[in-house]
Amino acid sequence: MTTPKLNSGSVYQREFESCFNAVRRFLIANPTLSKHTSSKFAKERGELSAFDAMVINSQSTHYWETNQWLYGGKWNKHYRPGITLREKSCQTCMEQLFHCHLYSLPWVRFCPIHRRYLTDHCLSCGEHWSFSTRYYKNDCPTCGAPTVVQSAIRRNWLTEYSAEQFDAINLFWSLIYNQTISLSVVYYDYLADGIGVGVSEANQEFPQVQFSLHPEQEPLFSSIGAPTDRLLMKRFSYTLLTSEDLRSTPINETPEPSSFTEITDRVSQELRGFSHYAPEDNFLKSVYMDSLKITTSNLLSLAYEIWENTLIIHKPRQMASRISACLFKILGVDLPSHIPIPRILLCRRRGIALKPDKDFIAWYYEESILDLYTFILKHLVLFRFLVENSDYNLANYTWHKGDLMWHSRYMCCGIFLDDVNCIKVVYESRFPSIKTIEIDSGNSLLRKCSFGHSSLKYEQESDELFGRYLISQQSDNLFDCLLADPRYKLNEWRVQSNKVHIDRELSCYNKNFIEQRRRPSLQEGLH
Amino acid sequence: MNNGETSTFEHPIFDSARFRIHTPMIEKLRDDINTLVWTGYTGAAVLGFSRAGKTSALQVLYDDIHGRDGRKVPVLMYSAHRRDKTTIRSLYENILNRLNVHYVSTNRTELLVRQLVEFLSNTAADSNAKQIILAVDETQRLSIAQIDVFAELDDILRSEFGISMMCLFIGNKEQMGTLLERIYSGENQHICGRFFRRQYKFHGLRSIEDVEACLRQYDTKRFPAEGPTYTEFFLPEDYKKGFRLASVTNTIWRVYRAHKQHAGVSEWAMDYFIRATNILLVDYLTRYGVDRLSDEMFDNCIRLSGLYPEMLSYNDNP
Repeated sequence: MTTPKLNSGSVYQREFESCFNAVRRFLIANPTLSKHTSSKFAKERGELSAFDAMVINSQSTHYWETNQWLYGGKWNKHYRPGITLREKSCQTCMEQLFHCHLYSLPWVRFCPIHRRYLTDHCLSCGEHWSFSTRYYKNDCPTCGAPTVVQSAIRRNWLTEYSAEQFDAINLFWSLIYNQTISLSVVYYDYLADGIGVGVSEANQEFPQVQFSLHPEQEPLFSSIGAPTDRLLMKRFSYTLLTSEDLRSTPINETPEPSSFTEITDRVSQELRGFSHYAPEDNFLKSVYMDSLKITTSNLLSLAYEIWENTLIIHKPRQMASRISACLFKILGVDLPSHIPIPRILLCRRRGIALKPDKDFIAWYYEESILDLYTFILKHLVLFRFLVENSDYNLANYTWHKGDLMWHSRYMCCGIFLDDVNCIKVVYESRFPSIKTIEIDSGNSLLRKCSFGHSSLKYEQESDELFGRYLISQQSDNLFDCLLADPRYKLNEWRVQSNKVHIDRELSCYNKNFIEQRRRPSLQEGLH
Repeated sequence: MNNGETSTFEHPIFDSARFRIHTPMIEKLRDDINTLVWTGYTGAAVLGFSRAGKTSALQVLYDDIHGRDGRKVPVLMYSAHRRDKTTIRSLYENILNRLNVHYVSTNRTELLVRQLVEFLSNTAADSNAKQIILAVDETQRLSIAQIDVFAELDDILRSEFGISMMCLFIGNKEQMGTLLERIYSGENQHICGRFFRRQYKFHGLRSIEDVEACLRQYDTKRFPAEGPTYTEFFLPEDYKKGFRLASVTNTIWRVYRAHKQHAGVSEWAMDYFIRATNILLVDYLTRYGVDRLSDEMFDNCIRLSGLYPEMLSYNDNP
């Protein structure tokens, strides 16, 4: 006698269902399974058990590969670097026994099928969706594996979804799936939660390459409620490299791309426009190490000088370089030497190496250089804020042990105030959305309100992984956090007023910055 | 006898449980069932004498029933067992057991029903079909109340899943009399109307044409798939010389007719026919050669096939 068969619940199966849904339909289709057996199945789900094989086999290979790529083969794990997954679902979908992994992506706000906002809890039972456990403990007719009677009632609610209803999901899956093997990868503002992609760069300093999406995709993004104000598309061609090609590629060679000078010149011109606006265009007059003074007026020019003299090596100024080095030392930042050249991209999932074309390298340089400038600018703003509002002498900074990390795209940094209660400052990366400097901390006080992003694995992982395991946490912004924490006696500070001031200031700078970039005529006029 | 790479005893002819021959009756039954499926019948009865080959016919037709859209309609076979308990619950347990579906004996009846319904809907969904056929063999072992269970299953499948289940009740003609009388009585009209509006009489071989059609399959079916025909497998030399089993149809039919009256049968049950033919092919012709085929030889085959009731003791001379 062979082992008795279990129903896979394929009668409930729909395309693009999540693993959670597969388990749920399996449990509903096997009411004779005891809870013990059910939980056993559920616990074993990580392995390729007979159950997995049964459920997985009922899916298309394409879909399952995408699922595995997104979830790294682990269900409900925040596995994929660069993606913050939250357990969300559509109430109507859950009632109709459907759930898609797409809903867990942070920038998906509402269900493309029913146009209902996705929630993190069930509106019927009030419990949070917990896709790792809910299905075998839960009798809720909406989100669980209900009892027989409920099951019969609920089944009557089931409706067939039309192909049109699945269009958005279908397109997204195709998009995500295709992006893993193409350089035309999906990028969505990381700190507003975005999609990471399976293309990694060979250089550790820039661990992950991310691109934007074309405005043509706007309706698609609108259908799931994702903001579309920063969509942009880049497509680049590439050549697949064989292992022989890789072996023959010199490791230490860092040739300057032919377009490098051209790009840096262009960026320099743009930035010079900023410094031109500053009343005191010679930062050396206003910045001295003895009495460090960074004013609103010289901030841009100072940032530009640091940027130019530390990164664009071909125009060294000894004094400026020395001061820049000191500033970075105070900030706890390793002075960035130069932007690495992404000559080889490794696609880890596919196990392939790609050689991007020259356009890609040029584009990458341009983006990275501008990001670096923004990075420096932001740090100066922070630096100024801290200096102006601190009772400490510069020499006695409590954060002298601090480690400030950065990433060209994420623009993240962390400043440790001490070993126990760390403050991690996180910047938003994309220009138009910069509003405040957000902060998260190990301090429980700082976890209460608003939105912040921090990496729990920050202290365990190497620097290159910073920002890859971001998990959304509730926290306050820098100013309120500092204000709320009696440890730093910030009540006595003029924080509130400065907060507004700094926010506006920073937004203003970046707004100007963007405007400058978009107004070539103005720049031409300046020169 | 073929002694090539394939072992002789792997030949399907030795696997009596799975050895199947397409008879003209099976072809007719297939057409009839397809008609039922196409016209949306909820059930029918297939009656025939025991050993006529009803069950085998259904097994042969597993993959041969298609809906109007050309999709295969899944066929499930349930063979009813006579048990001490004749309760509804015992029937569900029995069905789940026979279909090899998971259940726990302590499960409430309601759960068993759900599990079975889910299994049936699952089976239909796996075949991407909206219909399913449940062939209930040995129907004569069921009670009226138990037959009513299939009506309930059909109702649930229709209302909850939009799947229709056609029940084919297969039974022995000689044992179904009482049950059929009750079904056709007024109080069970709902069962009659749903499942027994159509009856098909399944019979064995009745003519020389039927016999020839069956014998011809020994000359055409191959084992392995690309290997020799059944006849060629056992009689390679004779086959090369042009011998075909269908060519001895007259002899076989003549001998059978001689026995028919004596055995008191109106038709040649497939079971006995296949057994007699297999004995002829495997034991007699391979040993004595096709040249020595005689009425007497096949006479022995028929006797060994079980056509006659076994009332003889070991010391008696048949």
